[in-house]
Amino acid sequence: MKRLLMLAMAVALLATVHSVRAWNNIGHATIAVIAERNMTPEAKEKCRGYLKHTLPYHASWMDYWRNCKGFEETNYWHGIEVDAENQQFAGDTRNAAFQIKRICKQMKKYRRLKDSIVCDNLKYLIHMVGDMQCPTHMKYTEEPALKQRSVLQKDKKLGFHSFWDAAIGYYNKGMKADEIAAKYDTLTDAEKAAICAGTPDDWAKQNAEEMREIYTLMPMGSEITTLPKESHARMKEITTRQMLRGGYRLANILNQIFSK
Amino acid sequence: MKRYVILLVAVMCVSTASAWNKFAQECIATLAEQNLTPAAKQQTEAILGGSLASGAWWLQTLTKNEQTKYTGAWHFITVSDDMRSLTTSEKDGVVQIERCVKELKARGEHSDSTMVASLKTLIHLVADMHNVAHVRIGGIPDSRKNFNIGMSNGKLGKKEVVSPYGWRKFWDASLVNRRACFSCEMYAEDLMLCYGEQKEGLSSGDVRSWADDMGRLAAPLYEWAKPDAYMSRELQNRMELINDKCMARAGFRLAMLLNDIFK
Repeated sequence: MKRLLMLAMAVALLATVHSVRAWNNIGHATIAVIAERNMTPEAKEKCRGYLKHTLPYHASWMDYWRNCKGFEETNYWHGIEVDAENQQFAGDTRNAAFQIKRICKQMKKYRRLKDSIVCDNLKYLIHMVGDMQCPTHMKYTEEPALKQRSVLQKDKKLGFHSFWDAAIGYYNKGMKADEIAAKYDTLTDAEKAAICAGTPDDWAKQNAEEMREIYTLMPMGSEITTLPKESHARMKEITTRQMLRGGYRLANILNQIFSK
Repeated sequence: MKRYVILLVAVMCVSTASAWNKFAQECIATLAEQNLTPAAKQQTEAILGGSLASGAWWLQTLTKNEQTKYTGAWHFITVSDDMRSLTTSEKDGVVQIERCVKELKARGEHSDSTMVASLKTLIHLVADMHNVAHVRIGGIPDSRKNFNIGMSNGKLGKKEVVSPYGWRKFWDASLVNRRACFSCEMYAEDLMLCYGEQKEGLSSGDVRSWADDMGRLAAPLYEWAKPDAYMSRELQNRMELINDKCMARAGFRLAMLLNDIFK
């Protein structure tokens, strides 16, 4: 009987809980919409031409295929491991920053690539540039316990990682991806340029330095619904900042690729 | 205790929807709206007092009312095993679509409320007839049932969990919900981008030929789609492409019908 009850609970959980994966669908879609809003008409047309879809459509493609045959290796491309000095590990190819750089290099000669390869490369970029800005996708290897960290939501245990993956939707309840993008994509050209300055490695270091803050804002086991207003305000600020970084940086990368 | 466990599992597994969900219905209507002629757009707006999407879900609400529950059967179409649509029963979606078209064409002879009901019914049923799980195919008994498939959670190895999931629910909601974070306009824009060039080809023919078309599309799926059949994440991903194309067909065909009615 106990086993039956456990089975029923597992089924219930499966049907109601969003699976743990990167930014969730709305997060990735919002970042892709922000990117499209900031792409040159030429880059946007070319991307859509290769994808045969809008960018947001493929924003979660890597998540849907990550465990399918032939895509297993891509499971390691959603985040970045860093050491106590916020540095990536030398020679680590299994991380988002390395893969973004690899694809960008390949895409410099996109005209010589098969259309299907350009299409797949775009789908990887759309997802990884977003994912590397996700607060919990900076993996602090000196603190393995952070991986198992959990909080509470209305007394129910919730993975710390899961909360942040869903944070864009959490702080913009009832809104669709295009509405969220329109609401926050209001930065000046100078502010956008400042966000896009540097390389994926620089962005990784910046995120690694800044993302440590989330672990103090949300202590282990804290109840989300009763966290101080100031904590939520700051967490929302971080979520929005990372979302915009994802969108602007993605647009910048694609504009550069397709300006040639 | 056992009773509660069984009840809980039953609630989780049995499909509660008998149509494409509200989001899918509204997206299809939005795509159709974007492909209306100015004349059709003006007249449909005058009848509905709003967009096509505003009337897309109405028919579904009737299935909850005891007196109009019978309309639940209209959400399905039937084709024979040689893929010729069987449209003799008034319970069939195709017959109801043809009735609505006829009424809307003879709009001077009917009351305003009949026009509103016919147009809302048409919008909903043209969408539903393009839902794979709403096509009943002669010689394939499983196409008439709402069975459970074994749906993978998409994890690898020991982390993979396969759970019972309603076949109809999979087509009514699961696939389209991957895009539920989009606005309908955004989804319609994507469908247009992907299938716009095929619009003419996809919307040619008449309602009966569309039913046959859906029969041909759905029949091969039942070679593997049987009760408890395993559905990998990869297969779920591939089904999404079929689902998108069906939504595009529905939107283009609905626009074609309305443009013809309101020329």
